Amino acid sequence: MASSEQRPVPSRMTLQTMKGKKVGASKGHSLLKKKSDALTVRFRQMLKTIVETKKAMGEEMKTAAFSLAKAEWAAGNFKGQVVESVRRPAITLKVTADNVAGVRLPIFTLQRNESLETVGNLGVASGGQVIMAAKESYFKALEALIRLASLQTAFFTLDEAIKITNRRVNALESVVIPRIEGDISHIITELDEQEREEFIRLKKVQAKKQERAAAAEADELGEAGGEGGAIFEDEDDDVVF
Amino acid sequence: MSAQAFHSWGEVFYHINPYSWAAIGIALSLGLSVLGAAWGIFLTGSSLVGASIKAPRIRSKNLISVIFCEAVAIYGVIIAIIMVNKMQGLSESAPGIYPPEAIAAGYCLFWVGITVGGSNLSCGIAVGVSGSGCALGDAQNPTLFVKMLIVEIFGSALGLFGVIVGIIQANAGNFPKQT
Amino acid sequence: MELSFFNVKDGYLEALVRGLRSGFLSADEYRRLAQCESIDDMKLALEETDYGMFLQDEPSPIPSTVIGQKCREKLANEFRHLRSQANYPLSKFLDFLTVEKMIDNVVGLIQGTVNKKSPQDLLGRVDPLGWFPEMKAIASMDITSGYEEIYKTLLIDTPVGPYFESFLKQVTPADSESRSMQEVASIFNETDLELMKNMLKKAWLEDFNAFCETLGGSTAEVMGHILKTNSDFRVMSVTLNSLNTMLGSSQQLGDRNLLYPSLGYLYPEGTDRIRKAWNETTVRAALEPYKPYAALFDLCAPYYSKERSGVTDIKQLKSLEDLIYEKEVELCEFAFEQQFHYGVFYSWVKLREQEIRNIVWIADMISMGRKEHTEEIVPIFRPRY
Repeated sequence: MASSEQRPVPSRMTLQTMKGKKVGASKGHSLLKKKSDALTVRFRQMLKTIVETKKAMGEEMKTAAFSLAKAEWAAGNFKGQVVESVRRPAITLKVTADNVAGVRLPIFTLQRNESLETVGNLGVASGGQVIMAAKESYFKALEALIRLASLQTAFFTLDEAIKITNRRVNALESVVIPRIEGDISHIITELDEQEREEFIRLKKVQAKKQERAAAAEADELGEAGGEGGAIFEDEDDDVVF
Repeated sequence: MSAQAFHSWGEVFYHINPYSWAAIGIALSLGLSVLGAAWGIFLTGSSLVGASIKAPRIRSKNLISVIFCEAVAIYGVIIAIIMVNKMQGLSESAPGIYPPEAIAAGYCLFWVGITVGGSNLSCGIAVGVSGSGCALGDAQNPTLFVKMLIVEIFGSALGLFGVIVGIIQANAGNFPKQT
Repeated sequence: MELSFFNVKDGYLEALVRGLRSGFLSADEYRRLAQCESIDDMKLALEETDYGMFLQDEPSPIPSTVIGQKCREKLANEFRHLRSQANYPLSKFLDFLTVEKMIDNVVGLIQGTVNKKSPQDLLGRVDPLGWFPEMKAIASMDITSGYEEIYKTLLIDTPVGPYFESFLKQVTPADSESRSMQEVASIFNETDLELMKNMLKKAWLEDFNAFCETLGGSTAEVMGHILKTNSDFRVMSVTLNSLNTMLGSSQQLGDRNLLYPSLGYLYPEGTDRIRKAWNETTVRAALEPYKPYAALFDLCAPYYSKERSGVTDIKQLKSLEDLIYEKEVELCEFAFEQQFHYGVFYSWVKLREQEIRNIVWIADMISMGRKEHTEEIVPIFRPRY
């Protein structure tokens, strides 16, 4: 692990910040997990509707193509006339956005401007009504198509969002949190180590002191114990607490 | 013949040479028959050519229609030969005066020509029209050929009637034998 | 006399056309086409018919429109062969047949040119039967220089000029003796080109009928019947197709009524009654005295009634066009029952167009995988027992 090379300084303060970090990370993790779950639920739903819409659109497209064939049968080849008479589009798309758990999903809505439709009097002598019928069924197919397009785009966006969220969740879960935990345990062990060292040192010092005290006592017993206080003054700068 | 004044149409006709009448008869019989035959062949032929573009198999079969039309011309030729054979001897008792047999024979041959020519002309057209129909019908449906052929045969029979009647008619008129 | 003189000029061509008649697809061939699995199969099946190898050079996925266009080209070629051998009255008669397509083409070209489509595209879409050399000029015309050019080109250079003239006379007020270019320009802008096309066709129909009447004999008889019935169909078609549309509304009845040809069995009383009709019931009442047409109307009325939308499956219903096609095929077939008249040429072209429609329909159905509908064609020269 890269982090193993630069372990944080083991101190009480870093321990504190680390603990804070850990809390933050696990909070983020749970939030992201929730988001991802929400998105997945939506995703599943969408998948279902997409399949349905696709089937429906297939049907609509088939009917539309059929009615076009019918219209061509009745009115001859009128495609050219339609194509040539188009000036401005009569049907436009409006894009709005939907917000799902912080992800903006585009929604297409179809806008039809009847006054711009050029078919008008087409085929008035032969097949006008059939052409109209074809137009209507194509309109229906177009609606289905746009619904599908809207769903499909949302689907992709959602898919991407879910991937990102999951990546984050996983990153938090398997990288960030373990690392923080590792750091914390490292700090704790270091600190314990230091404490133990300190304790041993103190013990040692104490032992030494007692040794010396014993020796001095023995001396004092020998020379009426005149120098005991001086030892304490000399040794004092080593003691931290 | 010197310059003479004619007082009536009868006189004019009377003075026309009976051989001339007979010759006109021959010309009419042959000419009208050939005209009828040619017309029929034309009617049949143009349809036959057109129809055989898409249905080449009809071309030799339908030549029968053409042959039927051709037969009409042959009738005319037969009658013409018969009539020519009758035009023998030349007897003129006096300038412009012909024996009554000769006059009768002249008229007779003239009207034979009209009979044969007229009937053959109509026969030619009839066969032509039905032949044209035959070619078109055969091109569409081969079973029609025989049926149409019968119609054509009946058409062709019309010309034959003319020929038979013409022969009988011609028997009535004989130029007096040359003495 | 017709019997004995017709063949002088037109015997060969009549026989040729009757030969071409045998080239119509038979019931068996239709069945074979309908059984095809793909368009490529269809191409093979067509190769065995009179159509021959006409699709040979097309790259493999052939759209049905290309099939249609190729068929039409074949028809146009055969037609041109006939036309090049025709003599005066027949040649004019044949020209009349092309004029109908020319009107379509010219109107399409104008429409495309006004909307600034590329000339190549436009020329690629025209009906080959109505092709004429000046079309290129129209397609590549510079619209920005004004309508004057179009007007001149249309009126002077094209065979449809006279019809345009009569059309202009009808749409401009009678009192203005000389029409300025300004007015012409406004006509092109204001008049719906589709309406213009139909008025041109109406003028054509009347002119054609007049011409056939001058020919006399069985041509006048056969063609008169066909054209009169056609113009009646036209009246019905215009009426029905404008039901429940803008054109059918009361303020535009005048526009609609301009489209009614002034001939046919309905004319003048029936047309007059239809002129005043504005919905299904009134149309039905107007057609009442004309039994065959009333029956025809009853058959297809459900398709045109307002209640149709949404409720029933339109596929089950027959539109007027389906019925008219059937009647027209019947009419044209009967034209072949007589000899020595020009009706066969007209009938041949019309039947051929119907056959092309059939082929395109079958191709469409096959490519859509809806083979159950391949039966819904109008077979030509269906065997009658």
